Amino acid sequence: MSSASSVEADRSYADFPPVEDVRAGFWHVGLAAAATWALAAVVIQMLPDIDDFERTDLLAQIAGGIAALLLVATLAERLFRFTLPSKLREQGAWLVLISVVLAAWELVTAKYTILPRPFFASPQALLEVFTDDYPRLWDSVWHSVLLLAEGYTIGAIVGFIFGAAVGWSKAVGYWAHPVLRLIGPLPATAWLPLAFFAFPSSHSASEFLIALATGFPVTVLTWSGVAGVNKAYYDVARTMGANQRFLITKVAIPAAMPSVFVGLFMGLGSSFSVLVVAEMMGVKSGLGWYLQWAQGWAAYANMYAALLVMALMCTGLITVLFRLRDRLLAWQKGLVQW
Amino acid sequence: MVGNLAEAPVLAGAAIDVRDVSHRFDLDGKFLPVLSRISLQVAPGELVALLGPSGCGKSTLLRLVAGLEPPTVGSVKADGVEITRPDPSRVVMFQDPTLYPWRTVRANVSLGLEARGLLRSQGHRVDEALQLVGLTHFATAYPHQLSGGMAQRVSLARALVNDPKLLLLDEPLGKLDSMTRVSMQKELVSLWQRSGFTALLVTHDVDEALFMANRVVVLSDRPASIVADITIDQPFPRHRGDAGLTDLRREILGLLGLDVDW
Amino acid sequence: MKRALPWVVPVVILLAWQAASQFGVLRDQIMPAPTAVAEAFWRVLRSGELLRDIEISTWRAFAGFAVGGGIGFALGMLNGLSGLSEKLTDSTLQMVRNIPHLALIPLVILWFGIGEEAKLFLVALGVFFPIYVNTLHGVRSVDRQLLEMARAYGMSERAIFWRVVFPGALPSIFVGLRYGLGIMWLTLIVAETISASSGIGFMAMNAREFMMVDVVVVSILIYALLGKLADSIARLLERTCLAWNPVYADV
Repeated sequence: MSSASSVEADRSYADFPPVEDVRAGFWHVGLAAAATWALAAVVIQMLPDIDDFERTDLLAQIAGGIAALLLVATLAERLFRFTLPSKLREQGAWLVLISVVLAAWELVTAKYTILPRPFFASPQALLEVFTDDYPRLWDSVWHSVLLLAEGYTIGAIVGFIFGAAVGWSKAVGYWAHPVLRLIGPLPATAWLPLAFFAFPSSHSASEFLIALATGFPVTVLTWSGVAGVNKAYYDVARTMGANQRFLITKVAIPAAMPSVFVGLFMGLGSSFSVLVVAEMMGVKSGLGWYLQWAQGWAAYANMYAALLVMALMCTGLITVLFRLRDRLLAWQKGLVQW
Repeated sequence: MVGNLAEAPVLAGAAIDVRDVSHRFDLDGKFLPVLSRISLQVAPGELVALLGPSGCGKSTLLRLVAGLEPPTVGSVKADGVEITRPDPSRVVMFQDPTLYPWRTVRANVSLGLEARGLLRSQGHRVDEALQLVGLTHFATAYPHQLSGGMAQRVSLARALVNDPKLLLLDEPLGKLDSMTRVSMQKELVSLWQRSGFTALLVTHDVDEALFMANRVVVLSDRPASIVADITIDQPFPRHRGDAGLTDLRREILGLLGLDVDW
Repeated sequence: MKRALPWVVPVVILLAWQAASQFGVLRDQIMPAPTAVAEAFWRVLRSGELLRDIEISTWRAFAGFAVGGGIGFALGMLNGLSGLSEKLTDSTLQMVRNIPHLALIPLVILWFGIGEEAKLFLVALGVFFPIYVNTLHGVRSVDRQLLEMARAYGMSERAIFWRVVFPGALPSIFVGLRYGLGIMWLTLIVAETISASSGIGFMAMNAREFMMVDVVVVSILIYALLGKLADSIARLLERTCLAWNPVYADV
């Protein structure tokens, strides 16, 4: 973008009407979604269940409620001239699809049992887990997040400092390199049996394993990030009288940040795995333990519910990290794509 | 240090004394000679162009003067003091703008003041430098939003904010398109005339040297030695078609071993 | 001498470890002495237990890798080449990807019991995602200009795939391959530890039950060795297949 082109852009805007005048038309997809959700509610409520499901009514009410909300939103937008968030509008097709999938799922499980019964849980069975077992489920999520946060924070901080030291100082790199080469190919889970011996509690052992799973990629990518900084950046700062401290904190580390974030993402992914396994094997709390417990009772619905919650939790945490990165690395927008 | 850049009174530029400098690179145990017995005196306020074929070692000479590397043999002095390390009074402008992509234009220009802990007391100089290169409106932009010429101008502002006694220009216009290049040559010359710093300009463009410099020092192929030291008396602003310059141009091209009627 | 120097630290650690065990600073229940580990290694090697377990684990690892990697590669290629296929499957896959595949262990045990299928399934699932994502990314990042040039020269679609798309995507596919190999071992260790009656993970778990820490350490070392070996093979393949690529030429 040059100054000349932005001036031209200003001029060319005059040819277009102001943005406020362009209003989105009637939300047809929204109306369709309202209809399909209503249909799903009818299917759930009217057709007889194969067995006694306690939450069939509630599920039908929820589907019906969504249908009503969509209908009101669609009509109100038309009548009262306000605008629905464009995000919601864009998701219209998904809203339709979800209702269709829900109805189909309902038909093949609760209504006609086309899918074998204990292996595939019906929607209302899942709902029942959420309504009846939520204290235990919620407690598990809380413990998982807590354990993950502790281990991840330790691993990320140690990995970052260590990686920066290895990348910056030739001497540190010289001694650390073979150690990293030795430990590198060993997956964090391989330490499991040993860690539970060596640490006083299974909680601290799990923390160590999560920190290890996080710390290794963060170390390696911070290291390569710092080592890969354009040497001219240092020359520039040095000619202007910068000292070592300035070179590290104001040049090396900001320049390495994109790479550090790659490490943080990789570390987050592998720390999830380690978290779940550690909870299954040692710690008597958290989602991993909940899954193990559900397995003991062959409670499929609880298991699916826990997996769903876990997917939401992981997606949520990854999204948080993405937001953080976008905020910190706003300067490289458009420069590096993901 | 003087506060106002835009109407800076004539500052004393630095005097440079390069004496019997030879330099070599150590490439995995093999020595590659780059500079051979170079002696060069630059008076305060001169703009000297170092002209030579690409890869001849002229940028290396500049790095020695900047203090980024010590010479293998010989001495480099600024105002009679041995140069041993980089100093904010001698600023380099590189071929690439080498702006920090994670800093805004203003923060990039502030770099030198920040590195020396002067940002708080002398922050106003940043705005003055930006004004000087005409980029006040882009203070909050990030480097990736700038065109090549603008980025190089930010790099110039970043150098000027340090109030240099010596400006080292390492082919600063080498990567710009020819139109931007010509206009920036003019800007640099008028800036130099107003501010009075000494300047060393590394270039492989004969016309650029003739258009901008008081003196043109022609260097040989690697290992570089001085082939000729030509003083150009033409007043500024110069015109590219000037007959005197055309003769000099032919002479210098001959020195560089290029066919005269080319 | 210069090359040996970095290994001083590991050797010193090893000696200190031995001394600490010798003088009772480090109890055997926490960390057995290196000599005890070596003895344990010799013991399980002699009994034939080790080789059998290595064989079984290796078979599981590579069978799972072949299945998961094959599907991931095929789907990645398909979604990279066909917009329709990508629209249909990609967002679903991206959603499933967020669940750590190891969380499925209890479910897989219920589905398949603790037979071979359970482990194959887990390894295949774990390997699938990195290979799929990187293949897709590789196909997507093939230089458009190369494609247009190939079309301009009248290459058939088939030739374009084998001469342009596949080689162009190969560096990225190798990234996925190496990442997948890491996941493969990680998964197998856990799967064998939690539910198996043979394999190295089972050996470790069994030893843990009987408090034979030395055997646990041996199994960790074996895993490290196998992991390193797989990674080296992948690197070698990478270097031979990507000799044209300057990034890999001298590394």
